[in-house]
Amino acid sequence: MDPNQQQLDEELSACMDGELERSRRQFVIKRLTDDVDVAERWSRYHMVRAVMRKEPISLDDLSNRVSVALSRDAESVVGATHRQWLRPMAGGLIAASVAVVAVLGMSRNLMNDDLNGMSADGRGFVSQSTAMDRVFSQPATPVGLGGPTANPSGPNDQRLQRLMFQHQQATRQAGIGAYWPMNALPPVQSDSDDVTEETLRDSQPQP
Amino acid sequence: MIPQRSARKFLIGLLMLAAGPVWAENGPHAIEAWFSRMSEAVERLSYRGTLIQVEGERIESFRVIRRVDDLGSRERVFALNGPLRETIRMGDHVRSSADGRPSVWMPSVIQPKLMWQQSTKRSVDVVQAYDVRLAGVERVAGYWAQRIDLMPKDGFRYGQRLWLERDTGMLLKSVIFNRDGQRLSEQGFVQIELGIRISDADLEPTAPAVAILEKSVEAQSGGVGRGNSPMVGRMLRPLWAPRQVPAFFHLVNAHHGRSEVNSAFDHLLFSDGLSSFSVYIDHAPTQAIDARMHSLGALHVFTGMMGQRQFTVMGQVPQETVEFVGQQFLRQSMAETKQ
Repeated sequence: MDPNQQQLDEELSACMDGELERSRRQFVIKRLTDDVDVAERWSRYHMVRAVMRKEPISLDDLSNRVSVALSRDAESVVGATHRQWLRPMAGGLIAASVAVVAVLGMSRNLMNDDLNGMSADGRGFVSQSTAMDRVFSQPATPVGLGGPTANPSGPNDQRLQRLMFQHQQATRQAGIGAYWPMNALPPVQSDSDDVTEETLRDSQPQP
Repeated sequence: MIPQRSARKFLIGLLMLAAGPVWAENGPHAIEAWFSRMSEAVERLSYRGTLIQVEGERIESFRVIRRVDDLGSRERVFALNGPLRETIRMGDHVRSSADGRPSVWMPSVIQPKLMWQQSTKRSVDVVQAYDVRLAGVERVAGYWAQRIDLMPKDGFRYGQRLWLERDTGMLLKSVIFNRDGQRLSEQGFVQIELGIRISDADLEPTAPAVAILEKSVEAQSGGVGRGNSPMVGRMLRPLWAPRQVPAFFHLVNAHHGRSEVNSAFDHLLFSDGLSSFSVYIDHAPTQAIDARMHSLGALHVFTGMMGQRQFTVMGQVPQETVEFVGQQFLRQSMAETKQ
């Protein structure tokens, strides 16, 4: 294999794991943006990794594509993936999986799912007192805008995330600002399984 | 003197003739035309692509599939990193699932917009708050794209740079940067196929649907954006509003609602046509809190108490913006206390 290509593969892999140093990451991102072949490799690596990690992906032709990808890259890619992607979960995969944009993080939180122990704090909210704290000397106990009031995992973060999601929905409805597909995840109630029969009908909406 | 004056007029005329095409190319109408093309493209095109989002040290990638045909629009978005997260939209129904768990179809009152659609009115607002210019053609995801730079006119909003596919106007990439030019977030397609035929299999969700819930997503999430939600021209008169907001921001929506635990709140949405921030006023907080600033990348949140009410100002705007608005409430609160 071309040494340059091999290096790029390694860097793509490291980038996906969040382990690439800043300067090289910028380079990889530039390549991803400019080079369709690199972008396709990036996409394919994700699929390969998803298969290796047994993540459910339902692209109809995925199995064929992954088979092709695996056979094509049996020596290089899979070797790299074993080195990079089969590490303990506490390593780079967590870093990569935590790497979520603000609103997607909020959506995920709203989904109330169990994301491998990713705490609200892990999403990077930074909170700091302001000069006004001296004016208001009450204890800094967060309150909920109708949310759970006693959640040990950080009700304030959850509340803020819920509000941010609502803000995104409102801006989207008003046709304001940059809206990207990854912000599309709507809140799904954790108690959806408890929905009463009266509220349900067929399982397929009409287009 | 007269010949000199004539010569000067002649030269000015020449300069205007020379500058005319440049101004026309960068003028408000040209910008609005590009925004209009973008809105049409993101709504009417079928496409399939992979996009990434970079924010600080974090990188995420997603697969996006959208089909538009005579039956309407269908969309599928799922994350390529980490646990499987997926959203499916079919017409005006939407459902999301995590980790492949079964999910419920829900009616959504939000129009099926997967991407940004800039209205003409908002475009007018944008050119007031930003210096907008067409900055040349660059290559993005294999396509030639028109770059549009939106430079903020003050420190109360971020700048943005957009890349629109030259032939269709499709939004391919955007970057948000602060006043110092520091890149805060970047999102864009690294691979995309435009105007292609999307099969049913492409749109097939990973997780099975269990049922349709006859209740809107927005209603469950706290009442924002109901189908009859008041918009400009017929919005509710807000009970509480900041006395002053940074220049070019104006109220575009006001909503009074009730949360899941029946706590009343007001939601005000302010925008300059591109950037926006929300003000939430909770009328019955369970406990008082200190005034506090939160930040997450480009997002800033300012919370505090206004008498017995709690306010929260948030948006993807600089810290100065949410603090400016929050201070209005704090001053108002102190004035009430003195009385």
